[in-house]
Amino acid sequence: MTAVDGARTGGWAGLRHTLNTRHHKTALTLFGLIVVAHWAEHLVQAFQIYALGWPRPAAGGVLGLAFPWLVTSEWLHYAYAIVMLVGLVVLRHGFSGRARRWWDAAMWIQFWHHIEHLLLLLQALTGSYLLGAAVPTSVAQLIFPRVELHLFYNTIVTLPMIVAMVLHRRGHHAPGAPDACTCAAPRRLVDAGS
Amino acid sequence: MAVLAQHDHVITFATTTGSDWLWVVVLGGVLVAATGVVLRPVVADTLRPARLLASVAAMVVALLALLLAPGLVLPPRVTGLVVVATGAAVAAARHLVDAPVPPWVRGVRAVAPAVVVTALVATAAALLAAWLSPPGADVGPLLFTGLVLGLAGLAWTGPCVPRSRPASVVVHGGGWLLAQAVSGATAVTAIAALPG
Repeated sequence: MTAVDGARTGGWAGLRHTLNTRHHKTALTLFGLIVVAHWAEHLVQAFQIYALGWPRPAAGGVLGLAFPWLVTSEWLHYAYAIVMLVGLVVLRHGFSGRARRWWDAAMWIQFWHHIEHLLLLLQALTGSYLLGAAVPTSVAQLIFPRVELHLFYNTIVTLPMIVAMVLHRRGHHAPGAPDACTCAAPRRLVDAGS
Repeated sequence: MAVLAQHDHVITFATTTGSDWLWVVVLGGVLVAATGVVLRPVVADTLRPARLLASVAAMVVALLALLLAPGLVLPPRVTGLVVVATGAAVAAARHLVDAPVPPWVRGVRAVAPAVVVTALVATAAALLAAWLSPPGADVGPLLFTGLVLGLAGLAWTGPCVPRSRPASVVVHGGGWLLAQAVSGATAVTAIAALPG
């Protein structure tokens, strides 16, 4: 699978082409900042609960302390999951080789994460909880009954994303991939399988 | 109404919609999944959209059935693993039959027929147990267990790529039987869920 294929004119195809070529670095930087900031919020939340001993409903991270609705709104959490998934899908076209495989891994994990959020949303909307549980429950909760699951999900999505970005910046492109974006510096070609 | 979810969020909704519309989606989804599996050998055994549609529909309905189920006779961890494994099967069904595929897809394709047969046996056992239960017994968990396992089996027909006639008989025959069982189980559970 190669990087961006040729120029596109207007509309959505043009925007996608631009985001994966001359603005790929900017788009990745912005996207990365959003993802890391969200992840950091949950890290702070975990610190508030386990290090400071705060009760769970009071542990709002940083922004959640100032704006509690950011933490309590399941619609907002689902919207963020969608935004992250869209970002992973749209920006994947600028990657190739090993970097692309790591980015795709993050994308598929986030796809499942978003399905879990959708299930939680459905449970809260309908009042029908998974397997008759007392609270909305995710599928992964059946396997790993830990309340830090959200932090875990964000971690396993963020880490392969970071690996992909590092490989991409180091110029790990598949042979034959066009000089698609300006992220890599300096640029060098390596085997797709290395 | 505030609900503390086990996913670290406090969920607040002013009202709930009830689960009736979930049943409508389940009934429609079962029709799609069962029809896709039954017609697959007639339409085109290797046609990716047909395989994928049936698998995706089965997976979606299985997830919704878990929301509607009062519980299953399976341990929660086993249920979770069944769901995750079925997700892998649906992902494998995306790949073209004659194209190079990653090793994990080859692995899924290799075990898929055995999983279909296992799901068929487990579904039959659960539904038979429900049928043979004494009058007045709570058969909900047994019925939903049969339904969820049957749907998982239907989803696993997606990555099946039978290369021989005996394999085709196993996959298509097993799929056909699962489609019948799932359709029947859905009808029974839906009727049992009706008020009164």
